[in-house]
Amino acid sequence: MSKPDPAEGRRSFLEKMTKGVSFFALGGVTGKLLSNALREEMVWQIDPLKCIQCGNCATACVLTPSASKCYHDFSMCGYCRVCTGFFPTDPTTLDEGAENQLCPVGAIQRKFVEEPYYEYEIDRTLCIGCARCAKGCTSYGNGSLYMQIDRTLCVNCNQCAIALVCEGKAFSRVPVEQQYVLKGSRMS
Amino acid sequence: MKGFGVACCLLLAAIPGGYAERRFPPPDFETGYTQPPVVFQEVRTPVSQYVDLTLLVVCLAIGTWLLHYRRSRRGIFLLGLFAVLYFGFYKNGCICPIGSIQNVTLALLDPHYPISLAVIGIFIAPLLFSLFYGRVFCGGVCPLGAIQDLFLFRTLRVPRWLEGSLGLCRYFYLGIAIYTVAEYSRFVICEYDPFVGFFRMSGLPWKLGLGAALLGIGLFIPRPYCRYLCPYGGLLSLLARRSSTWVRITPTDCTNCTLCDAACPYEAILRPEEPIRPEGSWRFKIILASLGVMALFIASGFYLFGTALSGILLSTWFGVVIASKMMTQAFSNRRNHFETDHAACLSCGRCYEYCPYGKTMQEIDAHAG
Repeated sequence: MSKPDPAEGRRSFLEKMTKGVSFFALGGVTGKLLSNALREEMVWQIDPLKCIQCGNCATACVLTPSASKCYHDFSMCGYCRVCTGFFPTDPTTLDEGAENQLCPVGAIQRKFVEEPYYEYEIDRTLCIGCARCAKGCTSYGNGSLYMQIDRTLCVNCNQCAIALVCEGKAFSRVPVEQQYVLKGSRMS
Repeated sequence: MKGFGVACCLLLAAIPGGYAERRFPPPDFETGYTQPPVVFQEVRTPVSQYVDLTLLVVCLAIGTWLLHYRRSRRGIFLLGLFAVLYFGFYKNGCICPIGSIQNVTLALLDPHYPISLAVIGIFIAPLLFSLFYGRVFCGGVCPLGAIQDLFLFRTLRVPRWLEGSLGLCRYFYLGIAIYTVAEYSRFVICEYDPFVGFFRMSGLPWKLGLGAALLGIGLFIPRPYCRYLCPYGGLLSLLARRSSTWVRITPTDCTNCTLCDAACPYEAILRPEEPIRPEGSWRFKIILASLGVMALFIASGFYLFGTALSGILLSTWFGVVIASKMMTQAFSNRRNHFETDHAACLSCGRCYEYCPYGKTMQEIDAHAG
């Protein structure tokens, strides 16, 4: 091997060149990305003001039941006796019988406070995210029942499956520090 | 009372203008009732993605050490098992470097797209390791690869020409994924991820079926997703071609015993062969044909997509992929021994166990140590 093969030399030179090029390409991409990178982590959340309560949350999520749940902001609630989030719009009787409730899984507990006020509380372990109560409350009431993604359940898919079919385009990534988009504080 | 309530509803709902909600004032309670606070439960650990990134880099480093210094197949297997359990079942498979291609594409195209540092790290780290140490990520760090590796049962040999051609699908998939994310902001790689359903233990039936089908194929044609579909694998292959070090089957001399070739489930070992240098005119014809193919794809891009730049680029990419594969046929290397194909090697380390020299070396080490 006293005389190096010119073809070998050419080959190794080309290999080194392409390696250098790929290294600098990777560096360039990293630099470009870093220029608009965020330090905080982003998580999916629903903007309740954009949400139109279409009910897709219940079926589209990769989890069963859905990670999208109904939350109740008591400070916004009117404590109505005829709660349109609890009863259907044409209730036959105003008692807590399962057949009279809007919630298909009985996740809303109604408690008498004082005449004529009732407290409504959501058991999120039962909630399936169908948004019927939120629709009733937002359409005819104060909008104190609204949908949010339960951050303890959400697996934070790279592409949220609900966001793809969300009819109100209410899904977006928010910084992890503000992982819930609250209605109360937004409206104040 | 009921009538009053309903009337109230209708009256207030009819008031035009402004924000329609908050129709009823908050009540003044007389019994001293206090409103309970709304409980918003925070996410488990707010730094989890950085923890993941750190773990990913540590796993890559351990994988490199196991593969190139310890030469331990068992170590790689255990690392893969850890990857399936942690990155797969515990983290539910998100975010993975494969899917991060799409985040990175969006971030490059749209400066306002939020991409976090951790995601950039998760995208870049395996690529850098690939450029220096080969596809270590595929071997024992990728949960998708590792879960398929567990289902290896009987290996059917795939003819080399078929292996090479099917391998191009990865680049087609890569092109389609980047095109879809640029045009429609849809993450096809994540949507059609076949195994993530298993990690989450839930998912649409057809997706779970797709995953099960791929695992079923994987019983006989090992790791079909990695070899024929994975777009990130395609990127890693490109960089691994120029890696500084790679899987060296034998620590000493190769005696051409063919055991490694028989042991490799992925058709990733190049056999020794006489240099088939195509004749000058023949080589010229191949190059000419590949240029023709490229022109054809570019032209059809213009025909199909009109003036839409992204469509033309996609079509050109398809052309480039096919043409460069054709061009490689015009050149060939001389090989005297069995060697790993840097681009195709999935760094599983199986060949180490079958190489008679490797065994002897291990035994010597064992006696010495």
